[in-house]
Amino acid sequence: MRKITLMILSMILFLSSCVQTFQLEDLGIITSRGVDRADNNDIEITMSVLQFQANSTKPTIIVSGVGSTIKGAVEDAGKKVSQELVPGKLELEMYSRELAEDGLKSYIDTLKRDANIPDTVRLAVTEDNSREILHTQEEHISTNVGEFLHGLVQPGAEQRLFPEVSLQKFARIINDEGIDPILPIIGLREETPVITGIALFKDDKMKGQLPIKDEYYFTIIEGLTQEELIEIEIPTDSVEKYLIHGNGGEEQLKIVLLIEKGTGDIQLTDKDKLHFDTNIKIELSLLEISREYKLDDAKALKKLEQEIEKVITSRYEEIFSYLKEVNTDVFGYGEKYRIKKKGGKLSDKEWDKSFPTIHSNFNVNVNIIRHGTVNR
Amino acid sequence: MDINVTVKSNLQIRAFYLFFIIAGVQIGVGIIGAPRFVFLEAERDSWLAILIGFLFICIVVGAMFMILQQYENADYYGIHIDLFGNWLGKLMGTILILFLAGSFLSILMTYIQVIQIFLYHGLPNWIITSLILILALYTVLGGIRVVVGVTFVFFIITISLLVVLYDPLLRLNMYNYLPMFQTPLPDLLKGAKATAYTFSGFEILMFIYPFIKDKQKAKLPVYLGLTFTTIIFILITMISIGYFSALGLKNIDWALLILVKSASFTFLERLDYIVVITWIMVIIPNLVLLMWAIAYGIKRLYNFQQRKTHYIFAGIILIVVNFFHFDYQITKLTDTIARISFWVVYIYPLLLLPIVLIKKKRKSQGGDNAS
Repeated sequence: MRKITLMILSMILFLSSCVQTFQLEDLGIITSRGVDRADNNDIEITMSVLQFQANSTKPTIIVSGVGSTIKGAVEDAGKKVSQELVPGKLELEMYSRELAEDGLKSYIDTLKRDANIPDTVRLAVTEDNSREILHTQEEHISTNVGEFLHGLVQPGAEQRLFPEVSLQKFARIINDEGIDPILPIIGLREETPVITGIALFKDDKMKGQLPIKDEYYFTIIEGLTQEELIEIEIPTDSVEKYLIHGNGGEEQLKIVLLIEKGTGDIQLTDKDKLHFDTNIKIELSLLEISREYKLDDAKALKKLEQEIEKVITSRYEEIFSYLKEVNTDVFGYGEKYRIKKKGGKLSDKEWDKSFPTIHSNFNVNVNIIRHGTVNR
Repeated sequence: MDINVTVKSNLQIRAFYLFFIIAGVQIGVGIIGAPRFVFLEAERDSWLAILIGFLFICIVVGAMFMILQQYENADYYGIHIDLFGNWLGKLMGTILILFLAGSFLSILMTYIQVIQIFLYHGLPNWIITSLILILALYTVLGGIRVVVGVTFVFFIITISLLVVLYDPLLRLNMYNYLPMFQTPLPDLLKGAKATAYTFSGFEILMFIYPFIKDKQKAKLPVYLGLTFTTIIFILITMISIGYFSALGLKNIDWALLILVKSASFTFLERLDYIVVITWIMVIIPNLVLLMWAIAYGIKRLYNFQQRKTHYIFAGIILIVVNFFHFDYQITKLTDTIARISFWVVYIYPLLLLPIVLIKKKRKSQGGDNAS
């Protein structure tokens, strides 16, 4: 009996060698990749690959391949390197603007289908093509390009540059009715990759874009804003009497503020006419002001808050009318409408038709809670 | 063959372990894909559907206990012989054994499929099966007490896996739950029926009951076990609904595994690999309890040595798994087992109960007349 058991147990040792092995030295780990359109409707894929070889001078290499599908292009690129390319630690996938405008659904499919690709992979759109961005010379950035790009789109650490958009979130929002996704746009400025804008999507197709400085308008609605710097300019005329040394000939008063906390809340006020209330609440702390201001005067502070509210409200209205123009509901008004609707169902088609006709009031409430160590 | 079983006291187990047996056997491979099946029918009110399913299994378990209490120390096999006579009773017992073998196969195949999708694409079925069966055989050869011990230990270890769900929990979209209570009742009932495969497994009670030492205390742990499974099931389903879009969840096969895919730590990038591998500890209790029930049943019905049954059964399984190559075959197998299990596990005890009661009444009346 014991012999049989021992025999069976020793089989485990032999069977385990049937499993395919992955030796680190033989693997090329893809950390970022960019997808572009090539000739004849093919796809070109450029990848930043991490390799672990003792005698190599660079930790990462850039390889590219062409194919009619993503997997085919990766396969093609695999022929140019000695290692096996594995996507297990893919951190960023970029699509050229051209592809984004035609729809990303087919590219998202392979990311979701392959169990080896992590759900935490971040997505981005590139201004021109992603080839150039991945071929950034390493003199311009301190680290390798894969890690640098991931640092760009990964929020958290030092500054929140962009609301986090992971593959899972993007795929979810595409499928959700009454809300559309956004993605960061990466471009080159002085040969260094930076986030330059916000790509607005209608489901999986890119429809428009906004400059990156408007980014906090989006994060506030999502309720995610924390510790973010904003720059605001208000006309000096309106607050002239609180300026200690007068306006000094400047037309605009420049203020830099830190958002301590920003929350947004969308309410459906009229179900038939599709009227919404968008209530924004922002707590700010003042960091910089271009002219001395009577900050210890409650009235003066109130006036300043009102002026900031005006600026933010008007910008929100501009963004809102632009969204209606390109017909992408990235703030998720449709979702708020759906949950109030009987049955809780809303088709994309139905909302496409109604979204340009909706109306929203923006009630912005700004509070300056701190103004630093000085009160002037 | 005896209707009642006499169990040596060194083989008996305490009623308290029933909690781990019931919860361990219910939380198996079914729960990985279950949220989708419930959501397909009951949409946002899936939790209501699961609760309805839970109430129903409580009734079924109540019926099981009533049947068992009519006998001194019997199990399904003995009860069949008592009710339907020797031939028909043995036939019913054999059908039950075949059903258990079918569940065994479907659990094994589903797990193999998960491994092949997530980890090793080219690994043949028989190698994975051999590795799992070696573990299972080693356990069942130790007898009922080792089987229960393994169920207990693995249950404790695997429950800690659920902590990983904190990550998707933080990214829920609350609007996915709204508006509530909109699903019509027929859909809710269909959703409740879709829980059948996941919730099944508690029929093991009808096989293991004679081995319980303190039978008067058996009810509480069983119901607690059922409640525990339900809570876990609702938790996983609700997180899946909040985390995925409605359309997305309808197309996702292994919702639970995708949920853990998003959790990542600095020291451990891909948690899903760990979870897929650790999931073997969830299915081993399932497999060994089923294997034990099969071998024990064959011993009861045909007086065949348990040890030999284990080897022969393992051999058969090792051959059968090679016939499954395609996704749809496995899906079909699971669907068939799910449909049969609805009748065998849920409806059958309710049908059996009146027969048992009538028989007992007749017997006692007959006894009165004779005296």
